[in-house]
Amino acid sequence: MSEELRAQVQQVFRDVFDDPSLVLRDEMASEDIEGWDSLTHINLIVAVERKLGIKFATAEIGRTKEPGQNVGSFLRMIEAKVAAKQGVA
Amino acid sequence: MNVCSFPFLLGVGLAAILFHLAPWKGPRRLFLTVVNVAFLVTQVPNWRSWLCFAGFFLLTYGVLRFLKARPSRDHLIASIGLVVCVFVYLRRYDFVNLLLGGGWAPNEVLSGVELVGISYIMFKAIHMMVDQWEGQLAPYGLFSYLNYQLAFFTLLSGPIYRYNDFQEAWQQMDMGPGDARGTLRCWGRLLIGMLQMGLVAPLLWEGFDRAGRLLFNPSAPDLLQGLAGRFYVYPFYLYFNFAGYTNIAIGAGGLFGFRVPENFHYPFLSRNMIDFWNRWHITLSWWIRDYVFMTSYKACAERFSKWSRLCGYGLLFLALLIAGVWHGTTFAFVAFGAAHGFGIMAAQIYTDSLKKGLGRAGFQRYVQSRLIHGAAIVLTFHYICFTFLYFSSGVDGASFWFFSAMTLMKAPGSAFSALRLTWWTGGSILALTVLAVAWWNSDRLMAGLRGAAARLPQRTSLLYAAVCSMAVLTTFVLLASWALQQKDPVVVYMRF
Repeated sequence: MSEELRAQVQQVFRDVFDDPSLVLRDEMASEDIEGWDSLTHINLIVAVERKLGIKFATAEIGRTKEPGQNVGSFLRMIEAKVAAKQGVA
Repeated sequence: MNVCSFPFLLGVGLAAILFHLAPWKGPRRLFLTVVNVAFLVTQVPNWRSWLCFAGFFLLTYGVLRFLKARPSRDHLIASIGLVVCVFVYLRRYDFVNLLLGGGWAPNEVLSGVELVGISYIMFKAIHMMVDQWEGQLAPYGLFSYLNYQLAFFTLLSGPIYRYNDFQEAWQQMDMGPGDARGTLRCWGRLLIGMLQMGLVAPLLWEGFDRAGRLLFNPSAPDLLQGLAGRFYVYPFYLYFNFAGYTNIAIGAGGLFGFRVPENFHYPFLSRNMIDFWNRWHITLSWWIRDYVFMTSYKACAERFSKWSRLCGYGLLFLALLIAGVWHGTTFAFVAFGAAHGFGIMAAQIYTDSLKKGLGRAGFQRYVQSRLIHGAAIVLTFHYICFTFLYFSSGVDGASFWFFSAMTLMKAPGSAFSALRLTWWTGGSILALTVLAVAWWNSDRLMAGLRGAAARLPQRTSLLYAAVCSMAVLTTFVLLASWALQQKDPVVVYMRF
């Protein structure tokens, strides 16, 4: 994932979780970020969608919060969507 | 055929052997289809039920194909609405009668109709419709859809298996049989499930029944034992019945190469009601989370971001209310859903308030406090027991408390006499003390258990021994049950 995209997503995380010092690491799970509950998860999804102009499917939104998923897998999903969008454009 | 019975055990064993003897993907698929249809035949009692079942199944498939041919948001909403309406009609909900002013007469039309697993067919069909519309669904045809919906190991009561996971196993069917340890683990799960469902759950039911007799004895009610029995035993009965069934489903599915998802994760150790729904009937709560709550909350957050949190609380309540209503057709289940909706909404509001009030560091300290965690588990457990009063036959929460209060008013002496130190109350106090000490030392205890498990030799022969012992015990339980002419235990969730 490009540094620029990572920085953009990190800024969205900081805004949604109201934590300016938050630094994303791939191995972080939802339990490692304080306040990542079901409601905040959707707020995060909506904020990422708005910022990057992408769309998440229902099954993808649920999957990102299931056990075994982490920030790394979420970032990879975002990267694939941004790449697909740029490919279409 | 009951899943906790000898014929099922023998049938699964025989079918698994024949399945793995089949040389290619095609014959295996065909054989599994025959097994699934044969199991379905044992579950549908008459031609009227067949007609309704087949109609509902074909409707869901037809709607899926229609949506594939003509994808549009309006068609999707109309299709989901149609499937839900037919489902509500077939389920004969009491509250619909009230809403329609008594003009609802499906009981006469559907007389004698007994439908198995249609809730799960609906859940799976809606998930496929939405995922197909969003381009997330793996390829399917009538053959794979039929086996997905009618798979004998998930037909009666789930767990709700997502189609893409099913399809992966359906595609890989030409692989050779799994290793011995994997097969033994599947047999272990199946046998544990049979023991939970056939031995533990009936014993708990007996305790629940006995408590009812003690409580409702008009001459000399035993208030303490009766209340405690009614209040505490039923959730455990329901858990062992349904978790037992789930273990059977996971074990049986595993023998045919399907990884059926887990449905329970120590639900009575939940910290709050949000946590509870991540541990109880997990596949249902995740389905509701994805296809009811998240979809509606996302729409709300996109449109009214300022009010989204408030909207989220309301939607949490609504999602659990729907879950409750799904569980049964009477008003008691509406109350059950409302109690769970209130519980989950209160937990979310309380957590949000704590975060605001205590700040980041204070909230961390609060979450990590063992005393608070222990107290939260005890409180949540009691709330869960309260809500499950709505489940227990013939008693709902309100009538339970009303009856208890009336008994106390009529015979106040019975409450005091019940407080005498019997073996039961003494045992309960001792058990609670042991639990409290264990909780306080849980880190050390868990480290010790992990160490002991690591020291155990990981030999397949041990697994063989464990599975053989369980097979002997299960055989004994099923034989004893048959000899004593006991009815095979039914899956409580099958009614839903």
